Amino acid sequence: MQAVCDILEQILREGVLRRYAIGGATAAGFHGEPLATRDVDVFVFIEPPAGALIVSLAPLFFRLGQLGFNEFEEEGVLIHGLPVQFLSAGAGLETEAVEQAIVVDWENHRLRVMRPEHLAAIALTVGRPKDRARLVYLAELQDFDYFRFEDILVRHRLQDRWQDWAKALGLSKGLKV
Amino acid sequence: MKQQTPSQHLSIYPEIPSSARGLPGWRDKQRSLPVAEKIELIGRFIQETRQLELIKKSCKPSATSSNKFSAKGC
Repeated sequence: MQAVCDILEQILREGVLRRYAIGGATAAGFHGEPLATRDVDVFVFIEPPAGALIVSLAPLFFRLGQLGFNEFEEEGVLIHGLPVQFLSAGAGLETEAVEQAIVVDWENHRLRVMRPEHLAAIALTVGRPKDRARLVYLAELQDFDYFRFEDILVRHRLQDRWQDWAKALGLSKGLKV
Repeated sequence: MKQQTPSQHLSIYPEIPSSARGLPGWRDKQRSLPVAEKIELIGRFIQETRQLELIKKSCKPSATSSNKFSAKGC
């Protein structure tokens, strides 16, 4: 996993990626959710060529191929044996989650991972049963920043959905979003 | 004691360790792991999950066995 982080940082430095952040179950696991995933979800921004109407991940896969990572497994490209799924960050919430990702440095390595508050808001928008479970875990984190979460919910108009879910999941106590 | 912000005060379980909430203590351990160990653990978990899936996929339903899967490697 450390080697995957190094490759992500390398292609960021090279300018192949404009930004990236690890999201999904891997990010939730980093913050404390029980791990339940078989790949690493990486949300990326790529600078489209001038005049291009469609953002393509082709330059990213081309560079990974040059680095020797040509093998795919389902939707993920295998990087040092780990399937890594690259997703173009959608406008709005996902973009904000990538821009405000936490940067974690250790030894000579760096990891960019989405904040728990953004992961919780994204879980609200996706809405699968596992996203509901994720929301419960994330909302229970001791360092979950409710100021930040409330702000995200308001700006992305997720208050009503939060109210519904919070009530159903027993999370509504005291939150007045 | 850490001072609570108004928002934290409104949160459901402020400043209570997971063990006190009836949640497994390993969650606290998982969260407090050094980053290098956490990253290593996540990577190992994903690789093991992937290997398990590959083993499951290699198990073919058997026509002769009453079991759902053949005995070969499963």
